[in-house]
Amino acid sequence: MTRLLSDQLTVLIPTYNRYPRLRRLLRYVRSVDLPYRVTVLDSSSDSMDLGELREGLSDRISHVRYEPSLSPVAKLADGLRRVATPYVVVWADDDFLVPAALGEGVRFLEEHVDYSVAHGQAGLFRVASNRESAAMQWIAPYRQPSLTQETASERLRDHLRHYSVIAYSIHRTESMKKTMECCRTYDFGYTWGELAGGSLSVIQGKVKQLNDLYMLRETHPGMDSWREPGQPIDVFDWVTDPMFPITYDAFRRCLAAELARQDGISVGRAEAVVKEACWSYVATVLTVKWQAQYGRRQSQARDRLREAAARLPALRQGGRRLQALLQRYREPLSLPALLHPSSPHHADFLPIYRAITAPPSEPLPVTGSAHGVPGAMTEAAVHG
Amino acid sequence: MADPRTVPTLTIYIPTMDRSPFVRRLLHYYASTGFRHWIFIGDSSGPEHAERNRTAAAMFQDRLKIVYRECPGLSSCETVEQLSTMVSTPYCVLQGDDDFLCPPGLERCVTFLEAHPDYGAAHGAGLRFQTESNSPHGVIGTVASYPQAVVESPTGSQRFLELLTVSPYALLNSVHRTSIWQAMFRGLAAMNGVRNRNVFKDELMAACVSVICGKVKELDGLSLIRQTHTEDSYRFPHVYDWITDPDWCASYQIFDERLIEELIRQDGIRREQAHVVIRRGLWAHLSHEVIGTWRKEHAHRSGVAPSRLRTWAKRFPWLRRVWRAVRSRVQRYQDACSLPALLHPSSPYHAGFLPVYSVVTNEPASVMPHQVMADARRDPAMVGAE
Repeated sequence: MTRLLSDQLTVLIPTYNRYPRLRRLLRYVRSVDLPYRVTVLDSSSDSMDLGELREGLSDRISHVRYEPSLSPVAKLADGLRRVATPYVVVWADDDFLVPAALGEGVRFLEEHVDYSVAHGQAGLFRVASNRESAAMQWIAPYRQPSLTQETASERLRDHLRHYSVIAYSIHRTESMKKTMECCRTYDFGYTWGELAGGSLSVIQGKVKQLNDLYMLRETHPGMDSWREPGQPIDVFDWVTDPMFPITYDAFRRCLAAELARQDGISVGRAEAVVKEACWSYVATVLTVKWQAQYGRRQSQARDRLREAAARLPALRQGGRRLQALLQRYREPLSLPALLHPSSPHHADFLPIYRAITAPPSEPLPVTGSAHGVPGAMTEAAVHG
Repeated sequence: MADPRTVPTLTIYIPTMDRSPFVRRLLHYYASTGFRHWIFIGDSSGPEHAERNRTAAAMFQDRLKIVYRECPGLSSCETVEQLSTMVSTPYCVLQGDDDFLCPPGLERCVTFLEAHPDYGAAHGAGLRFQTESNSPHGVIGTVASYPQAVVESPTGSQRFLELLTVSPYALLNSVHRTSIWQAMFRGLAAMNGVRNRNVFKDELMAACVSVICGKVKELDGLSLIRQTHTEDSYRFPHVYDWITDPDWCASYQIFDERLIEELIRQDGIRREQAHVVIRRGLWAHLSHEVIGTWRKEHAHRSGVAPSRLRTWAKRFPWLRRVWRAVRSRVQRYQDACSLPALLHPSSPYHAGFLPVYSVVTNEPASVMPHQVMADARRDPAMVGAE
């Protein structure tokens, strides 16, 4: 049995007051001729010329407006209710997903019923931009591991101990709908919602990381601009928030019920597992974020060397070339490596690179079929 | 300057709740050492223990300067807040009802503070021990060092951060100036919680105000001997339970406000700056506590199997006796805080430790100072101590 790609996967793009990034994304989507249904879930209060937006839309891309006051969780839950395909992926408006990897992920989930989530290799990038153009500064690996333990308890422990965001991975639609409804029922809000959503997915099934380039995420100061008003802004505020004890209790009950069902254990035992896993997450995130904010920098000698080298342009240029060369060979998800034709991800990366760096006025070449998306230009079939 | 050995210059605060045998042991200890300073007992016990404590206080009234007050429903530090208005001495110190303070060590601290006005508190070395039965009297099992805070940065903000990021934070058993002492315990009643269930209320607030107000010095010699228990109703809550307690956030806000007030007064900084300092310090403290607890509970889930040598050696009781004798002799030289070392006259802590050893290992009525060494020699825990 075969199915059209557009019948297999739906892309949901939640957006809030980031139209420049949404325009950039839609330009990329057009350039790769994304073969899936796309729904933009837009609760922006900013105004954008609708004609300009329509330019980025096509018959496969729909645009749904929401009240700006609507919470991200409620908006996503509504978006999910509109999804009719068996798989769904949430695509943040500042990120880039690779169509070929989406196809591979869907294929994998079709063939492996014990898996609930699939994704591939991912990177984090930063852009330096002015009005005319943008330059990619660097790309670094972004952790998206596999979780293949046999029991849900083991997967949950591993997931929260070595936490990674799986909200942007490919999910089974029915499971994700259930998860979002659960988050809405318990009124988790954004931070607890992301934790609970990922944890419930991990409890429901295994997680697979495929070898393809799957996603590049942009890091920028406005990453959390759509967060609900009044919500904690960092981990310390989260822990000292008056709602923390109450929501922690709801989180534990919610996950324990699902865990007990999945592993066939008592609710009491499941609650103990959730407690252990949750506190390993809190411990790690409190420590890591404190270090990031207040910890002493280790490499002061290296900084001084760098400052000295910055005064000698020739040395600086030489240093950069050497660094790029080293990165190309040592780090497959670095900018120099991805830009080189020998990289296995080069063809998937180029359309992203162009969408970021080409001036907005310059049309992007349509590259969909050139990099192995099965039938990207037409909506071809994959095995169902 | 008054001589602390002859004039009462110090008040010991002893909060207690439902542990009358420990209070009796403690009063016996102070009476046996000829303690001359004030002892304030704040008693949150139920009627039965309160009656016993009242009787014990009356029994020692002619030998000790005791103020006994019933404080039903108050937590440990709250009793101190209530009793701190009655203080008439220039220095104060806190102790648990199951702990011991060494009078010569306390007097050294008073002398030091008299001579060093830039310091707010001082203490000597600390030890902790456990009795094998966890009761007030019995054979002493493990003895080990009990590290206490040493905080000597120049500003209040730096000292606060030093306490919560670098130093051990045990501080309430240090001798404090009374003005600082009263500031440390002021306003605690605004927080909920009894039986030390609220760490802000019953340790953190007072310790943090102390370091903001002044430096803390550690002197030579012994000043504190703490008893630890495997089961302890006074023990602070598990850190997860503390953070998820319904009173957590309200107590944090009171803590934040109180420390902001102290930092502004001490360092002359703005409110926002003070808040940032408190946030940074408490965040470090929380992450340290949470990750430490998690590692302790889950890092060695599988445990370690006993070695084959140990299993084999258990078959020969005489080998075990020899091993214990050898180990205690080695400990005497290698670990200054081990029981064999402390019981030997060459130990710098010997004189301070011996009255405690005596009162713990003997029932109160039978203890006489000259008996101590003879009793100690008979104690199986002292094998190889000489």
